Amino acid sequence: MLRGAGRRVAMKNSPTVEEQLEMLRRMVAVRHLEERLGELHKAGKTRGPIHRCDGQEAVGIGATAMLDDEDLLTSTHRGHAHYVGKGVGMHPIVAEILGRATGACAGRAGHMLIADMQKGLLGGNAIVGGGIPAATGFAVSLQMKNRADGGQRVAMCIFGDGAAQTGICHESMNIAALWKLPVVFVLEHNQYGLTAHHSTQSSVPDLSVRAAGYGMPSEIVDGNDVIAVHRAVGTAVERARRGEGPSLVEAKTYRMVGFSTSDVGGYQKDEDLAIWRERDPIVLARAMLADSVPAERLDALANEARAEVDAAVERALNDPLPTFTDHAPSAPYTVAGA
Amino acid sequence: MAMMRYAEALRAALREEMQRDPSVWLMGEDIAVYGGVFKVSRDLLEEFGPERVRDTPISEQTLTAMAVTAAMAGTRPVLEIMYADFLPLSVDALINQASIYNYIWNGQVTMPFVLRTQGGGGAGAGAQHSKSLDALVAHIPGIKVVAPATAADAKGLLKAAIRDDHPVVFLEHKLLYNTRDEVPEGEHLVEIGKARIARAGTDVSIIASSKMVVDALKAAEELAKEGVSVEIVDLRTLRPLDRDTIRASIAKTHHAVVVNEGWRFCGYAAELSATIMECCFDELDAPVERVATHDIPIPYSEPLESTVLPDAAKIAAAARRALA
Amino acid sequence: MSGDITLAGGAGEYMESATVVSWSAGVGDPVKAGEVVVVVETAKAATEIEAERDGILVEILTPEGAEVGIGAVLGRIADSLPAPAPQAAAQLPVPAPDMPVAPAGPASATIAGEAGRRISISPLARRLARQAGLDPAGLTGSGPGGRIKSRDVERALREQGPVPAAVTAAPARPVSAIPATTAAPLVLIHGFGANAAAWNMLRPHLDGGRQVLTPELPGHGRAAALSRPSLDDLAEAVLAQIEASGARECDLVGHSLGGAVAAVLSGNLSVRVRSLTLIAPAGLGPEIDGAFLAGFLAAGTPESLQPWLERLVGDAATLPRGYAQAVLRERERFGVGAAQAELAQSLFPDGTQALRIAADLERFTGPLKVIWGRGDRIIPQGHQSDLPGHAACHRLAGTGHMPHIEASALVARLVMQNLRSAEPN
Repeated sequence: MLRGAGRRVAMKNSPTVEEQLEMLRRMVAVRHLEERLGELHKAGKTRGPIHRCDGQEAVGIGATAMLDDEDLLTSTHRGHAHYVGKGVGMHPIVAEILGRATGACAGRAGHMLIADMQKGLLGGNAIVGGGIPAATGFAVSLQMKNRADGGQRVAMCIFGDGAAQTGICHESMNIAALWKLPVVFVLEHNQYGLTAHHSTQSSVPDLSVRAAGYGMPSEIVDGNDVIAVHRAVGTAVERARRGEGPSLVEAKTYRMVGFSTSDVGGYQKDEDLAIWRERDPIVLARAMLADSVPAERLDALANEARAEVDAAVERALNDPLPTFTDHAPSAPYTVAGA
Repeated sequence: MAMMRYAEALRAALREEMQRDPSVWLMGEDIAVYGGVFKVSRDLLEEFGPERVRDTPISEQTLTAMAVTAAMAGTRPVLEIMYADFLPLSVDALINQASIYNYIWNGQVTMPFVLRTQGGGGAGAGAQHSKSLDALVAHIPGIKVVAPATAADAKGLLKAAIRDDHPVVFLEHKLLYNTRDEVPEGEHLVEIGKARIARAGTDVSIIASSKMVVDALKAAEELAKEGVSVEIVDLRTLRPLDRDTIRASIAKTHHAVVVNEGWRFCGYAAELSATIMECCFDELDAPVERVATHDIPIPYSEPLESTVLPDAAKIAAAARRALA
Repeated sequence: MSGDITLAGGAGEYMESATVVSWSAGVGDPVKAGEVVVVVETAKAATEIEAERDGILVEILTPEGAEVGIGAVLGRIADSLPAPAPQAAAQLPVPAPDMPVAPAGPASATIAGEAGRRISISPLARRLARQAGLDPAGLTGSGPGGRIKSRDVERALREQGPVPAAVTAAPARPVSAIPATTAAPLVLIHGFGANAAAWNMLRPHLDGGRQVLTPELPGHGRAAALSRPSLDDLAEAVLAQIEASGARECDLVGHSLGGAVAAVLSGNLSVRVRSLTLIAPAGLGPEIDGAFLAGFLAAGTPESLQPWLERLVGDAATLPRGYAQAVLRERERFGVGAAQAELAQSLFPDGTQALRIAADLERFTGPLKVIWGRGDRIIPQGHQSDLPGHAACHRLAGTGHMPHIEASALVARLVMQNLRSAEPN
C-alpha cells in the first residue's frame, strides 16, 4: 500500500499545508459526527437507519476539497463526509438528521437525502446508483452553460462499488464519455455492498478497468490517503473544467462500521478490520502534517472540530420539530387527490 | 388559425419554445438526424444544432434521470421516449427522483422538464408497442400528466408544459399524429389542469382523454340518432385532475361513462370512477360505467386487437347501460 | 361523547337549504367552542358556523360544495378520534380540503323498505325523494333490476300533483318525513314579514317524534295573498293548512302577528287546540312600533332595511348575516311586499294594533304560555299585564322581539314544557 510520505512535495494537484489542515479538520469533524450519531441513534433521537462512513472520510473530504459552490455534487446514502466536504454547515446537517425544522431540508429529507442548493450539493441519494445519471444530467446543463458564458463548472458523482454494478452506471458513463460531459466519477470503493463483499458482485477486482470501455481515463488511488485522493480527483476535475470530458477515480477504502445502525455484522473479517484500523485516514493525514505543523496546533484543530459538532448537536436537540404543511401551491403535490 | 396535423402542432410548439428560450433542448432516440420516428422533431436539428437537438443511445432509464437533474441545473430538457411501453424504464427516475426533490428538499429546486411519449393501440404494433400506461405515471405525486386529443391542445399544452417549472409527462397517441384540426398560430397556451367540454349534452357525460375523445365523439353521433344527448369531457390533463368540470357535467347529466385506453384493473378509468363517487355520489342516477382495455397483453392480429381495445361502439354501449 | 355541528346551529332565518363553502378545520383537528368550523352559503349570504364545544373534529359529513338541508348534521365534534374498527378501516374519514366525502345520509344506493325489503335506488333519486317527502318504498323503479331512478321520482311527483304550501315550505325537512307518534302536530305560526323559515333556529331544539307544521300567513313566503285580510281571515287560511294535514287536534305556537292568529285559532271548532305558546304576541294592546312597520315596508335596499331589522333583536350581532338581503329577495321573488303593506294597513293602521285577543285567551282553558323578550322594541312587553290569570309569563333577558331566534334553545324548552302539560294523563 502506498503511504504517501514525501509525495506532497512538488506533485501536481497536491494540497498546500493550509489545505491539508482544513481537510484534516473536516475529517475529524465527520468522524466525531458519526460517533455522536451512533450515540444519538442508540438514545432514540434519530429515526430510521444511519449509515456511518467511519474510516472512509478521506474520500469524501479529499475529493470535494477543490470544488466550488457552482460545481454540483451527487452523493450516496452514506454521504456525511460528502456533505461536509461540499461545505454544508454542521448545524443544518445535524438538525436535518434529528428531524428538526431547522434542518437543511426542514426535516423532510433525513440523513440519506440531504441537499443544499447554495453549496451545490444535490444531494444524498438512497437509490443505489441514482447519483450516477443524476450527475451526468447535471453535466449536460453545466456544459451548455459553460459554453454560453465561458464558465468551468463541473459535476461530480461519488458512488460506491455496489452502485457500480447497476445498469444506469453503464448507461451514464457511456453518455458522459460520448458527449464529453464535464463530470468526474469518484468510486468510493469500500469493499462492501450492504453485507456482500465486492468479490461476490464483480468479475474484476478493480472496477476502474471498465473506464477503458468508454474511452475514459481512470486512476486507482489509496482512498485512505486524503492527499492522494485530492491529487487524483483534482486532476480529473481540471480535465473536466477544460472541457475534455469525464474521468473515473477509484478510491480504495474500507467500511469500518456496519452497513447501517441496523446491521448486526459478522461478515467482516477481524484481520481485515485490524489492517484497515492501522490505516485510519485521520491518523495518516495527521502524520503527513507532523513535519510541518506543531502537534499542539493539530490537537487544537481537532478539538475545535469536535466542539463544532457538539455545539451543533446541542443546538439541534433544542430546535423545534416541524409541523406538516401543504407544500408551496406552485408545486404539484396535494395532501390527498391529484 | 391553420389546419394542422397533431404532429405538426407538436413541432410548432417545440420550435416556438426553442426560439423563445435558448435553455430549451431536446433529446431522445432518433429525434435529431431522423427527426423522430413519428417525425415530430423533423428539421429541428438543422434549425437549432446538435447541442440542442440530441440523438441519444438507447438508455431510457438514464436519460430520464438526466432530464430530472439537467432541469434542476438550469436548462429545460424535452425528452422523447419513443413508446409509452418503455415508460417502465423511466419510472424509477420519475418515482424516486423527479417526484421527490421539490418537496423533500423543501423547495430548493425546480425541475422544468417534459417527458414526451406516445402510446395506444390500434396500429398492430403488438404487445410491447401498443400500451397506454397513463395510470403508471398519473399515480405519481409531483408529476403532471397531460394527454391532448386535438392538434390545438397538443400545441397549447406542450408549450405550457415546457414553461412549467415542474415535471410534465406528455402522453401522445400514435393514431392521433395524422389527425388534423384548427390550431391557433403563435402564442397559444392551454392551461395544465383544465378539462374542456368537447361536446355539450344533457343526458350522459363521457369522460375521456387522448384518442378516446375521438372515439367518444363518434359514439355521441350514434347516440344522437337515438335521441340521446351526450356531453363529452375531454380531460386534457390527467393529473392534476379537473374535478370541477367533471362535477359540473355530472350535476347536469346525472350519468357518467369513464373511458381510458389503459388496462381496466387499477387503471386510470378506475380513478375517475372513484373520484365521481367521492364528489358526485348524490348526483348519480345510475352506476358509473367504465370502458377500458381488457386486462390482457395487446395482441397483434386485427380481430384480436380490436376485441381488447375500447372503441366508439363500446363507449356507446356503456352510455346505453348507464341510461337504462 | 360527541356533539353535532348542525346547519340550524348557526345559520339564519329565511333559509331552506345551504351550500357548504369551506371547512376551516379538517378531520382530526382540534376545535374550540366559538371557533368557526365551517362556512355555509345560503341563496342569500355566507354564514359562519361555530363549534359549540371544545374537542376534535372527528367527522365531516358534508363536503365542500354540497347542498344541505336545514337541520342537517354537517359534522361531529368529539373528545377524541374514534379508534378504527378493523373491518371499517377503509372508511375512516380522512377528508382533505379538496376531497369531499360522501354527503350525509345512507352511503348505499340501496335502502331498506318498510318490510325489510332492500330497495334499489340511485343516489340522485334518493335525494329527490327525500326532498319531496316521498317514501321510496312506494315507488316503482324502471332502471335495471328495478332500480328507482330520478325519472321514477319525477313521475310519482307528477301523478301526486301539487303539494300544500305548508308542506313545501321547508323542502329539506318535509313535514311528512317526520314520523308522527301522536296525532296532534305542533304548528308553528310565524310573524308579520317573516315566513316558515323563521322557525329554522328553533326546530332543531324541539324533541323529535312530533310532526311539525309550519304554515305561512297569506302574503308571506309562498302563501297566496288575501286582499285587506282581517285577523280572522288569516286564522281561516292557517286553519285550512292545518286541516289539510288531517290533524284533529294540535298544539299551537305563534310569534307576534302569528301569536294573535294562534289565539284566534284557539277557539276553533274543527281542530282542537291543546296548548298555546305565544311569543311576543300582537293583539294585547294598542301600541306597536309604527316607525318600524313603515320603515320595514318602505326599505328598498339592504342599507335602509338593516337599521329596522336591528330593532327586532336585543343584540344586532344575533341578526343572521344576510337577513336584509333575504327579506328583499323574498319580496322580489314572491312579490310579497305589496301584500304585506296591505295587510299592515288593515291590521296595524296608523301604527296602532287594531286587533284584540284578550277575550280569546280568556276563553282558552288549555296550557297557555307567553314568552317576551325584555328588550322588545316592537311590541311593549307591558302588554303582558292584560293576560288572563292562567297564563304563564316568561320574560327573557337579553332578547328583543325574536326570542325564538335569539334564545332558541330556551324557547324550545318552554314550548316542550307546554306541550307536555297538555298531554292527557
